[in-house]
Amino acid sequence: MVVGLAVVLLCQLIGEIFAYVTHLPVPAAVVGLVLLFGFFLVRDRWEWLPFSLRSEEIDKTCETLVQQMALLFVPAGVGIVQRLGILQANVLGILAIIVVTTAISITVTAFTFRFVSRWFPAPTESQE
Amino acid sequence: MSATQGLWAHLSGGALLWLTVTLVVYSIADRLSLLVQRNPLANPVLHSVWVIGVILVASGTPYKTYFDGAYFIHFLLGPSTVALALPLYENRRVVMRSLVPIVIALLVGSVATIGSVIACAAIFNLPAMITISSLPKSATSGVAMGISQSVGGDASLTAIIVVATGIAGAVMATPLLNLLRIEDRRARGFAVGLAAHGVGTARAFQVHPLTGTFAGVAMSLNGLMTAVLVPLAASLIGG
Repeated sequence: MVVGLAVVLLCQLIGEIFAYVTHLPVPAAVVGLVLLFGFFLVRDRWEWLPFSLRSEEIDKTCETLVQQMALLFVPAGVGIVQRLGILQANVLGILAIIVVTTAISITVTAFTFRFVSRWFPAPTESQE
Repeated sequence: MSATQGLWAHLSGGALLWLTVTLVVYSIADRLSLLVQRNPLANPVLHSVWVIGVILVASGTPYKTYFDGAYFIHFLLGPSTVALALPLYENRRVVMRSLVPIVIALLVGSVATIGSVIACAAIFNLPAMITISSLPKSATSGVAMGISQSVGGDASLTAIIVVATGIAGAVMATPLLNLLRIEDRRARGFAVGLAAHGVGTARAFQVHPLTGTFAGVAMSLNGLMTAVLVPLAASLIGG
């Protein structure tokens, strides 16, 4: 757990430094994701990494973080108690933004994905 | 009586109580959701948010006091986004084979999301502050709050709209995609992850690992895309 968390945080930290130094509008966590992906690629190809970096611990930490992701949104969501006034004053518009644009977003994305994958069929489709 | 009051004052100001409340309420909500076979309406985030909200209002606890305790959980949003590298790595071959639809659906979906927010705001004549704070609504909380701040939005309002969007997406995704007759798990996952970030991705992982992976891919890519597109959209509205 400790090694896993250290590796994940280190990736995010480098991401934060990268975003700060380059002034690019990239979220630090997304840069961290790319770095960790690179780490997994390197780890499974080269044997010379210290044992603790090759252990399953990192995978287990990531698994836990991904599995419990929904919980992590609760504290920010509870912030609604702080903005009840502004939400009440614009209730219809905000509801429309939350419900209607999300439905549009899902619909447009799913149809585009399906449409394009028919034009560019995956080579050797092996759907699970 | 005064001993009880003293104890309450002692506990309610500290991190321990609110961290515990968050975990206990979420655990119960999650167990109930499992009991009803993960019915989308039993979304654990949705029910945890209102239950904790009611507890705060009833006990007269300021949100800031609550958040200081719950911050330990909130902080993990960033690391959990980084951790999405694992399912992405494990499924890299499937993902690489779908690269063209991924890139095009990302571009079209992200533009459609931001465009529909601007259209909605115009129809309902929303104040510019709400519109700007809503632009990054499909990006994951941590990312969206940062974007909102950088374009002069209200980061707390953004967080609420983001979480509400995630819940709405997680609740409507399965019935909506069934209605649209989208059967491809990759397309279903990608759409949910793009529109409803981490809450949608958590929901997608409940349905199928492949759906979840594509949701995670969409969520991280859309975090990036939203960070690029929202400043452009905000400058269009502003000017």
